[in-house]
Amino acid sequence: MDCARSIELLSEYSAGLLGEDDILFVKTHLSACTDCNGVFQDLRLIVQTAAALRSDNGIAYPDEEVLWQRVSARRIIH
Amino acid sequence: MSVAEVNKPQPPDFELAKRAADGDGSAFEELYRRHYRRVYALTLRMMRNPTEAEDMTQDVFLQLFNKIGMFRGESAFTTWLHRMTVNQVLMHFRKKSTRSELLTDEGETPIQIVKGTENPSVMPVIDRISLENALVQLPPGYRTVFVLHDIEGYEHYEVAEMLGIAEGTSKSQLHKARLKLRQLIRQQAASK
Repeated sequence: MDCARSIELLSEYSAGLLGEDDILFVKTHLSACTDCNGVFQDLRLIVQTAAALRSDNGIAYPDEEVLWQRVSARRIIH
Repeated sequence: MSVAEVNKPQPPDFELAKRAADGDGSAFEELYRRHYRRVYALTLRMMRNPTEAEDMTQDVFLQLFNKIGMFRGESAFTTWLHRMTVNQVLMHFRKKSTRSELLTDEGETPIQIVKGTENPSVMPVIDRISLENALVQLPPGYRTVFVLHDIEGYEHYEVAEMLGIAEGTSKSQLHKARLKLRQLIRQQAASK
């Protein structure tokens, strides 16, 4: 029961959006439950990795001119 | 381009938008050149398919051309353009699915909460590649909220406004999306 409640609160706990009672509950539970702590660490890694994707590195953009020609052509047709 | 041209202050997006709305084609072209990469990156992250993302980018700029006169400068141009982009992508998703499937978890497989340490030998590596692979499999509704909040960096109130959902729904969808991603990443690791 504590595990289900703890997991439900992990994203808001991580974002600092919980009230004091819930923070205390999650903190206490995570220190005692290695399983839930594992879930918490994984979610933190997912959030960190997602934030790293924010930089555009690695995206192969379509050719600017070719795409512009297509947009222009369709603009005229419409 | 000469040094003088390089140093010349660039007109703000709002000014270009006004000129484009008045029929100035070069102003519209400048807006395209400034923003097409961001639009493409967003559509690619939401759609996970480069060909579809390229087609969608064209659709977005066509839509922009038709609606540029509606931009009043009440929000940043990039926010307005992103909202338009998200709406276009969601419309595309809706053609394939229903709204309830997009924005709720109805009809989806319940998320299995796999605990962290019961089998350390299959502990997945959570990195860029595994996350990208898992994102492809994420239902579109979850993917959209995750992309907008965790990748693009929008706040929940902005995500809620863009998607026409409550802020609380955005929060719960994001949490479910993260748990689903974790489940998918673990499944990928276990199948190797």
